Amino acid sequence: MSIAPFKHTMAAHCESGALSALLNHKGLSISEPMLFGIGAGIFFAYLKIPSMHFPVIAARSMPGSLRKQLSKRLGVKFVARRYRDPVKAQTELETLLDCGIPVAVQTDMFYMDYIPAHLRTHFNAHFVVVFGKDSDGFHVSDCYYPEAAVLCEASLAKARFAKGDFSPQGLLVYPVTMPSAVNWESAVLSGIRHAAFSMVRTPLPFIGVAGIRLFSKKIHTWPRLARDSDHLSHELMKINLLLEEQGTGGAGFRFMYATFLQEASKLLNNQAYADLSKRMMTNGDRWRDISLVAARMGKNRDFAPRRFADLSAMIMERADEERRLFTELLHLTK
Amino acid sequence: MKETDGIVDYKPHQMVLYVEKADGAYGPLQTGSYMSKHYIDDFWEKRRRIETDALQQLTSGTLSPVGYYMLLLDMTPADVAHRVGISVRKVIKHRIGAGFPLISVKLVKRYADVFGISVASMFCLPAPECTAFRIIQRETDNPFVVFSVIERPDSP
Repeated sequence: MSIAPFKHTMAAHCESGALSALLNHKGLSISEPMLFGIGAGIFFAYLKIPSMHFPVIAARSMPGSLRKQLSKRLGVKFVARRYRDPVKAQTELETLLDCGIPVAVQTDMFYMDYIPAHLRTHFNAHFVVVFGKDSDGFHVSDCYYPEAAVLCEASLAKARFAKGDFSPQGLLVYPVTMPSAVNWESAVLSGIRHAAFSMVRTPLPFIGVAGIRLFSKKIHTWPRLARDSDHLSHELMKINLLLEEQGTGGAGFRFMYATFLQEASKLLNNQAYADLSKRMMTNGDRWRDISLVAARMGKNRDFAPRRFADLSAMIMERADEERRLFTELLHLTK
Repeated sequence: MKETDGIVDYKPHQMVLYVEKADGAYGPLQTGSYMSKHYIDDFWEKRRRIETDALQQLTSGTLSPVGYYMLLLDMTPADVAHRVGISVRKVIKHRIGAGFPLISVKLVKRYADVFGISVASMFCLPAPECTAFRIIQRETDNPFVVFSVIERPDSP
């Protein structure tokens, strides 16, 4: 039983927050936006998954992708292990903790007992850092929670071995080798290029800017998909939750990406990135307007076709602006 | 977003936003949740309606406890099936009142784990009018048995 000294900090997003906390703990000073940018985390997808009642929007890349991209671009080596046997998974976690190694684990957020029940949902790609264990349970740093928390062994086991989409399969991650020198410029440029390519060049109709367009076109159909007005209200308000509240740093990660571009501009000593950073921040402000309009429509049960048309037009404007932004970024990094 | 626009005074639900600070630099701001502060009443109102409707269907026998908790947690048969480890067809069958008696206790336990409740809660609910007390379930070493403890809402 041991508790490693670990600095708990809140962050905007669980995966980038957990990874940046681990890297900083290991001695590599990196901000959450820089990690998110280098990892090419910004994204958009409009998805209709059979396991969901309603279409969902995703504003970030696939869970786990940040770590892989970071590893490639920064030269940090991570150990990432999945398990079939929950007992073995828990034993290995405890062994690492005994050695004083904080470890990021992928969990189902539903079993994070310290979070108020009404905020917990089944979401299998929630990352927390486990940094100790004592008689009370595992000491957990969850960047969505203001303080470090304690989670009982049974809940952590359930959370690590939940089934369903993105099932964690006991995944644990920790950095083992840090690079002797990091080529930050190359990493930043490569991260921007990757993200911009995903946004404007992916030839799939539901991904990137095409995905935003699809979202704009399909939002008219939402009233037909809903059970009743409460359901439609809930789904509309979820637009706000997905873009603003569920670990995005605001505006579906656009504010965090603007922060990254500002940091990149200083690092690369290039004013063009600073200008794009400002435009990305303004773009985020307009996404936030969309979230607020959707939330108000939901709360007021204001489902007039005119409202959906307005919302659709606002989303289409974002598609156009993001096409311009990411195309410019792609050209800048060539 | 300007820092001043991002500040929301709501301690129970804190989060981090990236904002433009007074000096023009962008950075993190720990703040309260706008949605929780301004829209939580609507959430609870909808939740109460879902609970009342689901309870009515449960007590009349049209909905099974599986269907009841699926409604409360807004889960689809496909998601539940994947998490419990059975087919979607079976979940659809178990969701209605007539399909529930066919389930083994072992499967009830798997459903209960997915819903985050005890096996006992699949068969027994606090009466809706009973607001003077709350019933807390304390786990035992036996995964099928819990102790029920009756508490006053104001007790620690």
